[in-house]
Amino acid sequence: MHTDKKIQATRRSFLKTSAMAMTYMVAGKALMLTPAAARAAQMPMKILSALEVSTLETLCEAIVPGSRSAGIAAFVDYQLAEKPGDALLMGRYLGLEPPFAPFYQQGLAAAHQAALEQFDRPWSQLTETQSKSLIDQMFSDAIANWSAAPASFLFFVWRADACDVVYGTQSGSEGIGMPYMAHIAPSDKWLSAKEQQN
Amino acid sequence: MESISLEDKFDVLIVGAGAAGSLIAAKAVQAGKTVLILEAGPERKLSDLESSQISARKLKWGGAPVEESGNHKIGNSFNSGYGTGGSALHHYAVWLRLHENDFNLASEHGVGLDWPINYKDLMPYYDRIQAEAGISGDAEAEKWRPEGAPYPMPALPVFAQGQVIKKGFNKLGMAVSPLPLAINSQPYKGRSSCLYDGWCDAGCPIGALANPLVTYLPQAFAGGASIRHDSTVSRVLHDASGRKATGVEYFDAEGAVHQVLAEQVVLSAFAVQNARILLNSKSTKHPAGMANSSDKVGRYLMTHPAQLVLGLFDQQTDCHLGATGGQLLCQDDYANKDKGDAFGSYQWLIANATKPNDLLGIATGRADIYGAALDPFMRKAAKHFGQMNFVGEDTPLADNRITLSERKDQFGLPLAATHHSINERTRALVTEGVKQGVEVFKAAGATETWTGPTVAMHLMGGTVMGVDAKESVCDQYGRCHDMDNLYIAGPGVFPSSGAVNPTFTVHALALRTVEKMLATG
Repeated sequence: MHTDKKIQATRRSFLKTSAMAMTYMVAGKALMLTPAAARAAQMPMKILSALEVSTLETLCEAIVPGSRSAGIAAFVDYQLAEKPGDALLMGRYLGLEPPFAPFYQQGLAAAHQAALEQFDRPWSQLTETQSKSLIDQMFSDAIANWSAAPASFLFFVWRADACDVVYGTQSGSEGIGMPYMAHIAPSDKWLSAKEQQN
Repeated sequence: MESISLEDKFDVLIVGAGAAGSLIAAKAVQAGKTVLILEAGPERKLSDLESSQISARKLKWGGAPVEESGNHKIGNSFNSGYGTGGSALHHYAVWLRLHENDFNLASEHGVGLDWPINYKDLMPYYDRIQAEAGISGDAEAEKWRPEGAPYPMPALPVFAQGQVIKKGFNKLGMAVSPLPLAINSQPYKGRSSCLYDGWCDAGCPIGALANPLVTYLPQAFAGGASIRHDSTVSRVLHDASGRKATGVEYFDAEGAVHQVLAEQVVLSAFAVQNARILLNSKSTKHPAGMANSSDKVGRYLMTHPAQLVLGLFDQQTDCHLGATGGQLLCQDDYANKDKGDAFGSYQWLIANATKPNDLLGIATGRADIYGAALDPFMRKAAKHFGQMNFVGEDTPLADNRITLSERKDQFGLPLAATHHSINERTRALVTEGVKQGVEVFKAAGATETWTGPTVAMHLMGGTVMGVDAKESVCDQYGRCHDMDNLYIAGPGVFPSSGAVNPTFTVHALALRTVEKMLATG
């Protein structure tokens, strides 16, 4: 169940991350959520499986701490489900052709397989040291039998996605001491959609 | 069989609502012409230009995939726009003039192509455009600047990042000037002045930056021009003689096919898509594609090879302030193109406003920092980061080209396939320049310096202009040699790239084009 009580995004926090707001249909109503709020509310994924979500969250957390709770999986999943021209993942700048889902899913499958082969367990059960070891190997393309796009490229893409959710928001920017200075306040339409739900 | 909807006839039909198309539309309606603009992307409004590097990506190319190959791929998705305003909606407004030595590469150096015009031909158009759209700068401080009217507005302020890096140039005996920007340093023609918050890449919603939504499109619409979004042009139509374009065929968002007729047709859909449309416009009269009797459509595709030099400084830099395009300019080596092993001019765009994320953001440049080390780095960099951008000249090569792929888009149209490589002399130019940039940063006191990859910045060529109809696609006004009333506008007509950002020149050339059209049509 996805109840209103699970939606933790206050108006203030919503404003600070609105550039990443995502629309979910709940009981026939449009609900605007940030990636973090979508994760907190356990909104259903559209593209990624549970295993893919846990793999993505774990490896991204090891690359960019804070990205799990910032909603990296919700952000990526939402964008993968968008129409090709509407997906806002940085991969569109890096020569990726839409649809992006196969690129992500094949990469996550390769990462999962690497965890099984080296540590006999999925990413979500790796120790911090084991995760770091795999990440280091991905960065340097040192994982044998890697069956997806080059691991170092996937590392780059996932790191960029994770930086989007952690540092690419008003709160993320201000959290490292950089004033955000937005020109445009978030759309009233988004607020009314959220307030309507509440 | 698909039904084709035949629609009204216009005096001028323009494909693409970017910098060139919007200017031509405005001037044409002001001369009493009926004008229709077909834009492949969606409608964009100023209120859509949200301050976010993530949202900014929606402004970039979102149409049919463009295949890329070569040792220096063109980066179409980053360099092209999609929707009202085209790439000029997200451009950084670095409005520089080509230099006098940019127009005669072949005759002066035996390299590439000559332009069919010289700087003197273009200068009055630069002067008129800068008065209309507004540029802030300091012409006297730009000691390298070719002749021309002074800027209509004073230069934008230089913030801490620019002041810090400037010291490095000065220590090495190099000059810098304020960067001329089509961004208002003071209110100009009803548009407000800049707030210096560094969101140019996401599009400027306050009208301080001269993008088409605040410059020429309002004039076009006020004069009665129409625009149809989500309209993908597939081919140019022609009469029985093959010499006269009669209109275009396009697909709407639902895939319905339309034909619209016009007395004059302008392709201003940017370098890659213009060539794609021409190559796809095959007929018995034009078996190799329209305007391609020379086999030059698609050839001489160019970009500016660019590379970032980045670093950390002891001083606080406030790198989030200013304009994305930069604060300062250095063109000390611009006049010397022939450097032996290296060839071409280059310039430095210095102290670019920088955000934490995205392709040009702080985090992306240091992919080697991750895990527990990342956040401390980001916190330090947020206060002490600096960067500047090397922009080099590309050498026009016939084998760098746009062709049609075997693959098709959603409408069954062949995708554009692009191939672009830089030669050894251009590679040497980049190496030499970046080495200099690192020395500048060290001289400026950088505590740590690193460089980015060599990337493609701007797209040019593919439908080059020239005197000889056997060696070029269009004449000096953009009129296709093979056609009486088909014009090309935009950076695709550049026979060589120079090393300056192209948008100012795109405007100046488009003004020449439309005035020629109006004089002959």
